[in-house]
Amino acid sequence: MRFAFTEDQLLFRTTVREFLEKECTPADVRAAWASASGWSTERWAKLATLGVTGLTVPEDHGGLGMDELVLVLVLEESGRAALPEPIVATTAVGAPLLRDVGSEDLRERWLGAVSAGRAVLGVGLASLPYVDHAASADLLLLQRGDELHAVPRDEVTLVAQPALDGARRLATVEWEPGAATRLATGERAVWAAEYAFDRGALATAAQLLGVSQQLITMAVEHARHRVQFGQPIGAFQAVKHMLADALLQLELARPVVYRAAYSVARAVPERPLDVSMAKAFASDAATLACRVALQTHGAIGYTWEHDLHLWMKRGWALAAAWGDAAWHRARVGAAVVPAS
Amino acid sequence: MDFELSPEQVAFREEVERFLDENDDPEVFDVTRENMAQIVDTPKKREFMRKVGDRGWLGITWPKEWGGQESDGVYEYLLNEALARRGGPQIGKGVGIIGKTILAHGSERLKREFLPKILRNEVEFAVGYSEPDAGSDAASMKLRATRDGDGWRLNGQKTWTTSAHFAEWYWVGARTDPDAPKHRGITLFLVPLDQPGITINPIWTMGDERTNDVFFDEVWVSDDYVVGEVNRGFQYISEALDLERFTMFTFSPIEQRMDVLREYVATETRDDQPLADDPVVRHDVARLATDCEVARVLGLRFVAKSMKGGAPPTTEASEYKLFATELSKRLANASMDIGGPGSQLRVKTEDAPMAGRAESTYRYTVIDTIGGGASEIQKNIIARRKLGLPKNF
Ligand SMILES: Cc1cc2nc3c(=O)[nH]c(=O)nc-3n(C[C@H](O)[C@H](O)[C@H](O)COP(=O)(O)OP(=O)(O)OC[C@H]3O[C@@H](n4cnc5c(N)ncnc54)[C@H](O)[C@@H]3O)c2cc1C
Repeated sequence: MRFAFTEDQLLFRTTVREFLEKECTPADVRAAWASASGWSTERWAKLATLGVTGLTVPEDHGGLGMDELVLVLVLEESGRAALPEPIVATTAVGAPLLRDVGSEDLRERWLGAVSAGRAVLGVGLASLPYVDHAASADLLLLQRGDELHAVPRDEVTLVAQPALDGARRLATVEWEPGAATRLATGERAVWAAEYAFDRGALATAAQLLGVSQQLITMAVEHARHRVQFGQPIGAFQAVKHMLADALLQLELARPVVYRAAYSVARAVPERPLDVSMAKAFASDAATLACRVALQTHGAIGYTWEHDLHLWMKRGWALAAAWGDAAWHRARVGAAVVPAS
Repeated sequence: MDFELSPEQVAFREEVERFLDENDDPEVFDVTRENMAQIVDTPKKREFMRKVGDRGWLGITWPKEWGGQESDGVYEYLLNEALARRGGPQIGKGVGIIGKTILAHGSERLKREFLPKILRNEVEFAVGYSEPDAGSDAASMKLRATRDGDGWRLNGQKTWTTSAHFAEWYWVGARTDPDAPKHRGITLFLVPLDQPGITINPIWTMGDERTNDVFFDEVWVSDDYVVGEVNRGFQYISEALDLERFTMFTFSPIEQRMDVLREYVATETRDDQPLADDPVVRHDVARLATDCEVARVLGLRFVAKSMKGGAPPTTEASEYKLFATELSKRLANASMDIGGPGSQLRVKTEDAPMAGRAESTYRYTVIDTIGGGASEIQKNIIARRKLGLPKNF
C-alpha cells in the first residue's frame, strides 16, 4: 500500500492548476456563463494540448491512457476553478465508455477527436433525467433499458432545462433507438452503463472537493480582512469554528474520494459502494462549504458582482447531479445491510 | 395559556382571507419572490396596500388619536401572516418599524406629516443602517452629519439599502457626535430620496432582486426631520431591529413551503417508488413539520409578550429570528434533496419538481441568516442578555 500520489501524478496536477489559474479566472468563468454555449472551445483546445481532454483515452488514440487516480486530481482542480467545460461527460465518462464498448470504427472516429479537443461527448443514462452540455455535444451516449446507443446530436431533439449553474447547461433528450446507433446490448450494456454512472458520480465528487476548497479559501480570505467590532471577523470563535467545521468535512471527504478513484480504476468489486460513500460525503461537505462561505461573507457574498456565487451554484448543482447524497446513502445502506 | 384564537380573531382571519381572495392578482402575490415579496415596489402593489389601508388594517395597534384602532397586536400578526403566506406585500416596514418608532419617539410634526400617510399607504420608505464598514456592527456607522444652520449636512455612504430605488423617504442613521462612544453619537433622520446630493446605485443579488448603494454628497436635512432626540438614534434603531426580526421574517412562508414539500412527497415517486413510502423522506418531513410547529408557537409567544405594550422583547425576537431562518435553510436543503436532480432547475421551469420552488427557496433563504442580524449575532445577544455571559469585544 502506498497511501499517497506519485510524483508524476502530483506534477500533472500542478501543471493543470497553473494552467487554470491563468486561463480560467473568475472573469473567464463569467464570460463563459454569458456565452451562447456556456463554455469556451478555445480553452478546451488548450486543455487538449495539455493532455487533459484525452486523459482517459488510450495512447493509440492520441490520449494519455491514464486512470482515475490521476483523473481525480485534475477534476479537483477543475472544481477549484469552476471550469465551465464538459470534462466530466467527455473525459471522465464518455471516453472510457466508448473505449470499453465502442466499435473499432467509433473508437477510431471519436476518441482521437476527444484527445485533440475537437469533439465533446454527452452522456444520458437511464438513471439521469438531464444531460449536461447536451447542446454542445457532438455525440451523445444514451441508454434505453439494456441498450446503449451512440447518437449524433443532430439525430435527437433537445429540450433545454434552465438550471442554476450558468455553465452546466442541462437538457432532456428525446430520441429513438435504432440499429445504426447501437453500441451494446444486454448484460454488457448494463455493465457499461453502471460503470459509467459510477465514473460520473466519482468525477462530480472529485469536482466537489475542488469547489469546496475554493469556497473555504475565499471565506477564510474574507474572514481575515473583514473587520467588524474592531477585529477581523475571523477572530470570532463563531466564525472560526464554522470554517473549521467546513474544512474538516472537506478533509474527511478527500481520502474517501481517492479510495473510490482507486476502486473505479482497478475495478474492485466494491466499486459502487466506495463511489456512493464518496459522492454522499463529498456532496454533504460541499453543501456545508456553500453555506459556511456565504455566512462568513455576509451580504457581499450574495451579490451578483461577487464571485462567490459562481462556486456556490456549481456546488449546489453538482451535489444534486449523478445521484445526490440521499440517493447514494440509500445505495450504501443497501450494500452494507442487504434487505431481508 | 390558550393556543386557540378567539371567535373575534377567527372572524377577522376569515375576513382577511375573503379580502385576499377578492383581490387575488399574480402581479401582487408571488410566492416565488420568497422573503422579498414583502416589498411594495410596484404601482399594483401600492394600489393593493391602499385598499388594505382603506379597510383600516394598517393602524390596528396604533393609538386612536393617530387614526389607529388600539387593538391587539395579534390582529396585526394575523394580517401580516396572511399577506406573507400568499407572497404578498406586507405591513412590516412602514406601519411596524417606522410608524411605531415615530409614535414612540417622534415629534408632533413628524407624527402629523407621516402617520396619516403611512395609514393610507401613500409613502414608501427605505431603511439605511448598513454601510460598507458597518454590517453586524451597525453602531460603527460613519455617514457623517455636521451642524449647518437649522439642520444638518450629510456626507458619506450607505449600502444594502433595499427599496431606495422606488421609495420616497429614507430612514437613515448618521453620526452626529464622532467623539461620543459609538452607540451614543448616532441620530436618526428622515430624508427625501430625491433630495439633491443623493445618488442611488443598484446592487443585484443572487436572488435576482435589487438592493442599493446610496451616496450622500452635502445633503441638507432640516432639524424638523430628526427622529426623536439627537444622539439617541442607535437606541431607536435597536428597538426597531427587534421588531424587524419578527415582522420581516414571517412564519407563514415557511409553512407554505412546507406545504409544497409535503404535497410533493405525498404525490410523487422516485425510482418508481412513492416518496411517501421512503422512511428517510418520512423522517425528514416529520422533523421539519415539528420544527415548523415550534417556529409557529415561538412566534405566538413573541406576539403575546409584545402585546403587553412597551418595547418588544429582545431575546424572544432573537430566538425566533435565529430558529425560523435556520429552519428556512433546513427546509430548503430538504426540498433540494427530496426533489432530486430536478431541484437544480430554475424556478418556474415547467418540468421542475415543485415548479422549481426548491431552487428559488434555496437561493433566497440562504441569506435570511445574514440580513436583520446574522445568526451569530443573535446567539451573541441571547448569550449576553439572557444568560448574562460576559462580553469579549
Ligand atoms: C438581501 C439583503 C437586504 C438588506 N437590506 C438592508 C436594508 O434595507 N437596510 C440596511 O441597513 N441593511 C440591509 N441589509 C444589510 C444587513 O443588515 C447586513 O447584511 C447585516 O447587518 C450583516 O452585515 P454584513 O453583511 O456586513 O456581514 P458582516 O457583519 O461582515 O458579517 C460577516 C460574518 O461575520 C459574523 N460576525 C460579525 N460579527 C460577529 C461577532 N461579533 N461574533 C460572531 N460573528 C460575527 C457574522 O455573523 C457573519 O457570519 C440587507 C442585507 C441583505 C443580504
